Amino acid sequence: MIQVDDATLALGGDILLEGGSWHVRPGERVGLVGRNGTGKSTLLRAIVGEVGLDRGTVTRRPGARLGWLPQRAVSGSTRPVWDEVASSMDWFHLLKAELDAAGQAVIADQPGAAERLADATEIFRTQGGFAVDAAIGEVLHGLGFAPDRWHAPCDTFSGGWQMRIALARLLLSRPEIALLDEPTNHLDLEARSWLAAFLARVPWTVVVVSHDRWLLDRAVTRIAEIRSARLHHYVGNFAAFLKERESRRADQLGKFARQQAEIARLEGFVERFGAKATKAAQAKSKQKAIDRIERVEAPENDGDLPRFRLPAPRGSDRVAIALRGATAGWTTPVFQGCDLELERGMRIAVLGPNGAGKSTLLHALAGRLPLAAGQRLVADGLRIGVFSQDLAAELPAAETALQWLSALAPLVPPQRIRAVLGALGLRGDDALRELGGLSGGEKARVALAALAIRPHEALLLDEPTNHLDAESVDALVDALEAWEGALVLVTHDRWLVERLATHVVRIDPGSIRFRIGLRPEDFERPPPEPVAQRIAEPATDHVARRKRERDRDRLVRQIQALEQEIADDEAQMASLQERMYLEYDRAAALAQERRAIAARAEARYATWEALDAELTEGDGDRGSARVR
Amino acid sequence: MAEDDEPYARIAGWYDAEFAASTADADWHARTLPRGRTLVLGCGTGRVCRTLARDREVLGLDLSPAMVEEARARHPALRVQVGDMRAFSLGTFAGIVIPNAAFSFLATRADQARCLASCAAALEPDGLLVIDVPMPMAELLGTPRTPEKPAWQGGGVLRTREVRRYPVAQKLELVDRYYVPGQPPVRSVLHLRLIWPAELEWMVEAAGMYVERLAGDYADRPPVEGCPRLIAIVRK
Repeated sequence: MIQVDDATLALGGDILLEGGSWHVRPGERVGLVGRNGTGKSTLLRAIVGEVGLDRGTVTRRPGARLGWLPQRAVSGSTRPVWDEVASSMDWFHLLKAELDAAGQAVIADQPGAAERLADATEIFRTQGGFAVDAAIGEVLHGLGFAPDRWHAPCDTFSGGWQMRIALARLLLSRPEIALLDEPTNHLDLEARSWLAAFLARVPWTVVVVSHDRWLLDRAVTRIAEIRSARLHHYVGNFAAFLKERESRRADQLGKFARQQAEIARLEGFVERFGAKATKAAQAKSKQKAIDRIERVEAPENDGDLPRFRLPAPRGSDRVAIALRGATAGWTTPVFQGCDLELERGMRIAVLGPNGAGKSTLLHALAGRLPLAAGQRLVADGLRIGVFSQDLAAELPAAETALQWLSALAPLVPPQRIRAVLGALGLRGDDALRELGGLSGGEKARVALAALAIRPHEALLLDEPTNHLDAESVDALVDALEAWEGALVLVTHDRWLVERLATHVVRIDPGSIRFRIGLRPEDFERPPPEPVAQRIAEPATDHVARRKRERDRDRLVRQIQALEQEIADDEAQMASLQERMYLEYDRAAALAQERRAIAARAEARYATWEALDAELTEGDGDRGSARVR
Repeated sequence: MAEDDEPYARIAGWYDAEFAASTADADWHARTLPRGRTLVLGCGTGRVCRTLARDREVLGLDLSPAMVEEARARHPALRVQVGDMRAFSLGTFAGIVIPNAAFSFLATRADQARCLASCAAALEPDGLLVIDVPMPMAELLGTPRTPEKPAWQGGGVLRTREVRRYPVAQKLELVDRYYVPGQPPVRSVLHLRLIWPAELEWMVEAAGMYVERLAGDYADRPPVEGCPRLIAIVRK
């Protein structure tokens, strides 16, 4: 479907990709991954044709319908959401047009019109034309649009929802090639789960750039990684990719080491004997051998991120933070009478719809939001670390990351600070750049590093992984998993929740529930109200017809089986009749056996008659329907 | 924030629901102890008392008013009362039993010594004292923490257990949480002292008694590696 040959991409002097080749086959769902800034989006845009390659070619299968979701997609429409997303369904409009035309043809009594209408109806049905409203409803519901907003004008939605509208349009347009750049960025937990499940079952060719581990583990069949300006291809999902990459690296390292040893041996020979007249010819041939060796490259050193550990919590209080009968909210109370104890070793995921008060609860636990009623109790000497995107945005602009972090934790050696920053994806000189010049994502990494270098007993994290790439998320999760403090996590990242959470606080409007463990329904939106069909199926209802056919087939099979059984019974009776003459000493017993079989055959015959009547009746029904 | 002083206060009902069915230890005590007047220290909800009371006069003692109340409610015919096993004066007994790890809840040497001295004083000359504690699992002592895991489910309640181990202090901290849907979980924290076989013998001897026999389980097998219990049959 997509062929990329020897592609080189550069952006402002930096070479993003050099000599990359890629063949995406029909039906493949590929995750395009790589660290931030490695050119994933640019490559996607090159495939779409929005940017040109510096060298090489990109070809898409001619005529293939393309669906493209850029990172900051805006619908720009003023139409109602429903109409806007339905307008993308060209496949549907074409089929509908043909169906209508065929209907007109029948009315006009054109020759062959009946067949044309039958064909058009059948195609329309098999393509889901009659279920189109349900399909739109499923996508809108899956992406989190409340039914009462389905017909609201697009321009009344905020930026994050604009992206969802664009995504819904794309999903409903049934493209042959779907190119998605960070489709989960503005989605909540349920919508992300839904999208991963949806993409996993579409027959299209999909290329998706994403940092969402859940999506990459569930929905893709291949991974293409941009690393060190090259494209690397892997079969399987993200988990398989991590494993395979590690084993490739180990292979490469082995090959490299063996080759280096061989080169060293040959060079040693040349050095020792190169000057000796008797051995000069041999030395020369060895030198040639050295020159001929196709060099194995050393495996890249930037492969695995350094791992880090969070400093161990101190103190022995079991309960870190407790809320007793707490009522809180920024303006009006979001929750009331909440009893919650955060204990050490607990890793609580706060789940619930947006706006239900997840962040409010986090801020109430942190003590940043005074309670309107109730009590907040904190263990003696408890150190709470809080992370949220807005806090990360408030870092002092004039300091470098290293300066700021060193001032926070003067006793922590700079190497360790840099190692932690590196593990969170801020490498090398990035630590020495002024915070004001860093992107939002980079600031978030610095703020997370601040939590990782100082000891805390409780960590309250609001969307910690939003701007992190998958590998940094891995490093963070490993660190949190090994840490024994009390953790509260508000996130839309299902993978993170599944990896970390020991307990769940479920916030719904008007209720807060606490329990141990996760359940599948924590990640799914409750099913929607069924959507009323606007286009009614014709009277010969497909489902009912299939059922009738199945019933008839079943009757026929039953009748055939009975006929066989009756024949068997009759054969048995004939055989017994014969034996009664020969084995006269057992005649009485044989006669009794024959009577029993005769009774059985009689009963079977009665059943046969009843079934046969039923079958004839059914056929008669259909016959009369045809006449009408 | 202080822990609950009374770990059993809110869980007595569930405790009984969970353990009522286990009778192996009570049957063992009934077989082993003499038929005379018998004292059960740390009687809880009366599970062991009930079995013993079939053929002897039994008095139960427990520090937790909630547990004693539960025992009285469940077995009105039983004699149970609130009292401290470290200091009691209730007359003499032919048999005294400290069942199901109750002795392990005595946190200090002084507490243990006072309890054994009280037992020695209350035991008739040819009486029998039985102390039943869990055998420390040496291989687990290197694991400082076993995270919270489901341990029991019944009657709409899920009990989980988290264990922390302090090998030098010879202590286990058991954190049981009872999850009832729609309510905040109820926590019960127990501190258990790990007791080794030779240590138990020393303690008993220091109190002027001696260990006649040690058993490793309720089938009367001797204590060996991996055996679940440490049961001391003590005389004075």
